[in-house]
Amino acid sequence: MKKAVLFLYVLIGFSACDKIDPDNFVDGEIIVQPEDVDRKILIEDFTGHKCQNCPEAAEEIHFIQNTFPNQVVAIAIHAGYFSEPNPPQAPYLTTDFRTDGGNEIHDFFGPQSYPNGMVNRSGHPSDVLSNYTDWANMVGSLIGSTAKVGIDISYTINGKEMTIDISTTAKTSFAASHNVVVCITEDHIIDWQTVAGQGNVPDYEHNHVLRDVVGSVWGQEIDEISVGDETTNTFTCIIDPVWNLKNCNIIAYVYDNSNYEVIQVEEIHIE
Amino acid sequence: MKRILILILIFVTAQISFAQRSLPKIDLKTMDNTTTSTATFNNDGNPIVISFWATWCKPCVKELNTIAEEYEDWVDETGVKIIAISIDDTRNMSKVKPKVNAEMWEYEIYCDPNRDFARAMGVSSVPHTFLLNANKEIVWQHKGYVDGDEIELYEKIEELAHQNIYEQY
Amino acid sequence: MRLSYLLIIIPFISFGQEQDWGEVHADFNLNAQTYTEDPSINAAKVDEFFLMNSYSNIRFTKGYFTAGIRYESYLNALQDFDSRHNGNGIPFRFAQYTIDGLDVTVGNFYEQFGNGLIFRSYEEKDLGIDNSMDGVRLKYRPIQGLALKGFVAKQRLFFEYGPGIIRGIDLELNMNDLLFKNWNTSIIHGFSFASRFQEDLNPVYNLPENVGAFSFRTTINKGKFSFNSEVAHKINDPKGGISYNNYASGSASMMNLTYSERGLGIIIEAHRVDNFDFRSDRSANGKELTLSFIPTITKQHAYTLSAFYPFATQPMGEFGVQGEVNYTFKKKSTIGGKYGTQISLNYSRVNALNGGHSVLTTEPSQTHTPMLISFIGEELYFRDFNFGFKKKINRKFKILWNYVDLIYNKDVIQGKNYGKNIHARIAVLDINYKIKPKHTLRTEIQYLSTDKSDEYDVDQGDWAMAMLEYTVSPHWFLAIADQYNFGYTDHEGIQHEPLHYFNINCGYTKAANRFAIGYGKKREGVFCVGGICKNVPSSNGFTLSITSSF
Repeated sequence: MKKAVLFLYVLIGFSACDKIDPDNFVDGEIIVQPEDVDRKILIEDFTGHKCQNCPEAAEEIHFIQNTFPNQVVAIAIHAGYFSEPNPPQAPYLTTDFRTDGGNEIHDFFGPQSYPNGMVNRSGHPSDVLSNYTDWANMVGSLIGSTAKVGIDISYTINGKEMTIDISTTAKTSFAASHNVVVCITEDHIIDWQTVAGQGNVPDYEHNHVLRDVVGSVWGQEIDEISVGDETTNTFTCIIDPVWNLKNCNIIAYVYDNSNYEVIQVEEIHIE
Repeated sequence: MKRILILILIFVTAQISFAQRSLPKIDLKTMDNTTTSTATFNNDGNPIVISFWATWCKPCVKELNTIAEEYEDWVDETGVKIIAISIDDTRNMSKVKPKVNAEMWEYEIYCDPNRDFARAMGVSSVPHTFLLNANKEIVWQHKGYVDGDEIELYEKIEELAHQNIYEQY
Repeated sequence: MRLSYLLIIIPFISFGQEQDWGEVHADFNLNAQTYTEDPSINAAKVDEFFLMNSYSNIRFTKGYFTAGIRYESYLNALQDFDSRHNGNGIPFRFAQYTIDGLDVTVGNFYEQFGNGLIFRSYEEKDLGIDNSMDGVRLKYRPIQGLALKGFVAKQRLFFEYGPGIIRGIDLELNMNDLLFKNWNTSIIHGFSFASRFQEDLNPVYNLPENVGAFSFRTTINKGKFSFNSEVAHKINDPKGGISYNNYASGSASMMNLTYSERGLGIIIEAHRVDNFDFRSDRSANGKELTLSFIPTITKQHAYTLSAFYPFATQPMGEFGVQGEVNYTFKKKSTIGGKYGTQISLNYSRVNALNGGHSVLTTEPSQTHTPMLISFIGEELYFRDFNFGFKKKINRKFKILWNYVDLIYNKDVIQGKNYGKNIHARIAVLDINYKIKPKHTLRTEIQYLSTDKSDEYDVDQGDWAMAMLEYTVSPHWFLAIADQYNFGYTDHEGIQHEPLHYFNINCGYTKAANRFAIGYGKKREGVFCVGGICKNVPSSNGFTLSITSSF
């Protein structure tokens, strides 16, 4: 009798399977636009032009940005094995999209398979990397939350030099030290990419490709400020002639020094 | 917590005499896929050799082939029984019976497809051979196989067989 | 979790006078390697100078009670291991007891249902696979011939757990014990069910939170024939994300038929896999958190060069067949010679499903169900033909000869995109020479040649390998080996120079202890599991391996 009970215990663990009707695949509203956009979310995507499954991650980012307009900022970091360029005489995949900053970030967070990424770098150190099918969940859970800081980006261009001013306003009090990092990304780069099922595609559109981390990869420290106050950090960036400035964006994100978590991110397009 | 656990283990180990390892009671499969148990291993008090092997393991097959050449004599002289446990997983398990028949082995063969028995015996690589006495306790073991290892194995079997004879009288 | 630690000391507290304190046994394994810079093979040094994996199992048994722990240490993990194996920990601990035929395990355990199609939790330390379960498992045999297993657990992911809660139940019926007692045909039926619960946090899609898979298996043995088959089905299991979700169900089926008699063995196998990647986390990939295990249907190669292009089941979809014949020419026959001769023939072939795997999405145009069986005109994934010959010439000489002719689809298996398959032919000669009792010299000479015609991808061109091994029973071995690449021109037109990968290994074995040290170069490899590839760089350095058990 006791054994029968024990077995019932095991059987209770099972419930009917959830078979879902095709009419029910998608959950109602697709576009989610809250009243006030406050906290924006950063997705960093470790990718490479030889990584045949990476376009799926880029596609996922595209869908996430469309579902949550103006709330998600993406940076595609080309680094690691599948981003290595072929030698110049090769017929394709010769472009080097890697950057010193990108390599440093890649080596620090250590992905070993691609595609791979981080959402707000949360969960460091053991849980910071996530598969792209998880990003929508993580973004969905953060949408509509309040940000601790607001970021304002302004820039001036002087020949080959660009001066970027990041003004951080405290919205709530936040303890511990924080840093602000500035990156330049470029959209609409048409170049080769290996795509699963299609082979090597010559005219693939690469978006939010990290072109440069301005200054240190770990950014500049933000002065301590009280609620409502603001402080400014200035960055100087040398414009690489390879970049098409009209397709470039300046991204600034503030992260918590103690656990690397990004608490706010902002992006502007360069006119 | 981990420190406490280690202390408990040290205390426990200090209390325990390092007894001969007895044969753990684990479920196994026969070559016909029926479930049986190590508890059924029996040789009427004569020595038992348990040898872990796999169809893809060349030294294992070499060991079992080399012993096969003299197995009849071994059995006549010492009454030993060799039980060969294949750790092949389901990729190769179907090849065990054909292999045993092709090599014409006379051993008792069992399959341990999820390595439960191997794990319980501390086997991390094959071949790994054990010698059991009349009480089914493990008295000797050897990892790996090179030509000539069967000589040492047989010496140990003989020792055991003679011990048994003395104990009987 | 702490309760299970206490279970270990309860046996000591509960009795006082008895002499039988139980038994403690342990085993220990250590593997370390140094990595030095070697530009000729692109080997880099590591900051730590050397990397090390080690683990130890400690097991306590007393009567019907067993408990054990495993301590693992990665300081830091070897290069071919996932670096999330980091630091030290006790990722495996359990207590188990049996009372009146009910077997209870609490803590970590490994388990396999049937052939493993819907559920297999196992370890293969060399490959870095350890997907143990942590929870409660019960096994019970109410009557002879009826075996029940059930569990509820979470699955291990490095030093943590996957998000899903897994429940499984398995029933095995030995029909001869239950009904057909005097038949000379043995029939065994089995039924298993496993399901995963994982929350749906997806902001757009409705994902099933309970995903179940079930399977039915049969084994029939009669005389010299043996038949084994299993059919499995998994309900909709979309991966998540919002760009794409496939709601198609999955299936996996396998069957093998063998005939064996003294001196002859024949095996025929086939399997079909469609959309069958079942894990503890719907979004996991690579080697993480696997639950389903579909045995690869190709021959497992034992020699270095014949295993150069290994195939692994493509869980998203494939159809494969394999046939093998083993025959022994008897002693004193013409071909058999004085000691007998063995030959072995094996053929296997795996191709894609017609039109790809099953798909069911919101786009009716994307919906697809492949044909049940199709092998003409479908993309070839792998094909190999093996011939083996083994003969003892005289008391001192034994020779073994192997020939392999294989076609390997690198595009699909490794995620490359060169558009052509690799066609390789490999020959191996293994000669064993007994110098005197207990002293043996063994040599292996292997050659791999890739097809250079336009139809195929040259890949890395030709390889040769020679190995000489000297063993002194029962304690010593020494082996030197060289793997040589003849140089090749790759897809980008770059010329690669010929390279030697030289290695020397020696070791000492006594009873259950084994020590081995080695020095040399290892060539790089790409390890792929279902489209996710990890590149293991080549290396140059010393290796140390220690194993021991008592």
